[in-house]
Amino acid sequence: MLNPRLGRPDELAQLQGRFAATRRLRIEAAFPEARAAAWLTALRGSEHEAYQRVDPDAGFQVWRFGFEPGVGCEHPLCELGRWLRADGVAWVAALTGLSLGAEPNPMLLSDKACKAAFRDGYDARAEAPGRVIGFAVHLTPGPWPVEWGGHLELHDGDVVERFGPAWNTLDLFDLSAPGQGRRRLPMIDRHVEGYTITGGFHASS
Amino acid sequence: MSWSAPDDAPTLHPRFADPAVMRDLHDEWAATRRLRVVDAFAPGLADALFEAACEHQFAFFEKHVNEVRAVFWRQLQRFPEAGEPSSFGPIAKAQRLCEVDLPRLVSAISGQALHASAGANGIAIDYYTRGSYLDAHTDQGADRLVAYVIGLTRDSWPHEDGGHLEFLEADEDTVVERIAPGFGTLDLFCIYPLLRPHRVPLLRRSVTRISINGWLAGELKGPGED
Repeated sequence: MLNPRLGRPDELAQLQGRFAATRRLRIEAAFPEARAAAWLTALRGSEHEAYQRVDPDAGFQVWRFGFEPGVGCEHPLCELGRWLRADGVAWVAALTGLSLGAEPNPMLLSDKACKAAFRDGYDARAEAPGRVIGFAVHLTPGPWPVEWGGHLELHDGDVVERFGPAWNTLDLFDLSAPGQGRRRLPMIDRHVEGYTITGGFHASS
Repeated sequence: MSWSAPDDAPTLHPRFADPAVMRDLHDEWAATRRLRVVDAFAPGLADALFEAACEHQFAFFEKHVNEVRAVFWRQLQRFPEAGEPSSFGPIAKAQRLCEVDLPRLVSAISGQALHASAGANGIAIDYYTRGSYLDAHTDQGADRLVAYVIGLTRDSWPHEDGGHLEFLEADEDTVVERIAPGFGTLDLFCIYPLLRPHRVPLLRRSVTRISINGWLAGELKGPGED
């Protein structure tokens, strides 16, 4: 499922070092191009429903599609979902050095990046109790500047780091590390297109 | 240009019965084909409409027609049949306003015979807040000649935060005129034949922008025929 280069020991060691330094990591060209393209096609054809909360301090407006990977289903998103609950867990555990297991709820979420999407400050840990590592698979055909909004901000009082929309990347976050849980998504101010599949891993029991 | 206020259940400000007022409005309309009338309604009507709107749910409204997209909240209040109850308190006045008084007033101002747009058997109350917008469009449709906006917005904010109505050049980008939301205001603008693009840019502030929007219809004439 992964880009073959990520299975090489030297590549894994390099990723381990980067992750250990900040407890977060963006992996570029994480998957074979054809797979990423198939996921994008599938997501474009999936109805992302709007969810909102009107609140001056804790509001959000997102377009979201939830899917549960089917057993034996050959749909590209189901294949990704099953990989994330099996070989993917093992690979991320090796990379992070943590004992990890799949989450009880197999549901994966896709957030559609589009004009007017935003999310005020929230705590990713509170939203997914028990989650140790959060991941995001970005499938945005073209990146855009931070001024357009839609770059995920990690907060620790101030902005610790921004994770912008990207093509075929895998982001990993250690949610127990300082500054990794608090997030904010500034409002996207123009018509763009992008998708992010999110989920996470629990500690292995 | 003559117009007389109906005696029963007035919905418009009584000053429209003054020929001098109507003459000024007519002249302003003739010059710009766009008009804002402040304090346009009978005393208390804007408050009653606002309060009734706030007592009812707005539904999320998302539209994507051709390249025009919109995201805001909307409440539809249908005009009841005779004897049918409505939970929207001032529905009878809203119906009177939109089906009778506004067409008569705007006909007098514009010099065109106008009536409520076909199919408008109720009012659409739109609510914009942070994350709401309406892309550039012209309102062109069927026999629509004039658009109206009944302003029910008490909040005020700078245009840099979005949510002000903007009229645009044909490039649909250059702003020609910007109109702040108002309370008790009546905004009128020509749809046909000018077909001026307009939009409500993305609102970035947590405010409450409420308006009742509709169209007045009449006989379509080509440019220079009216």
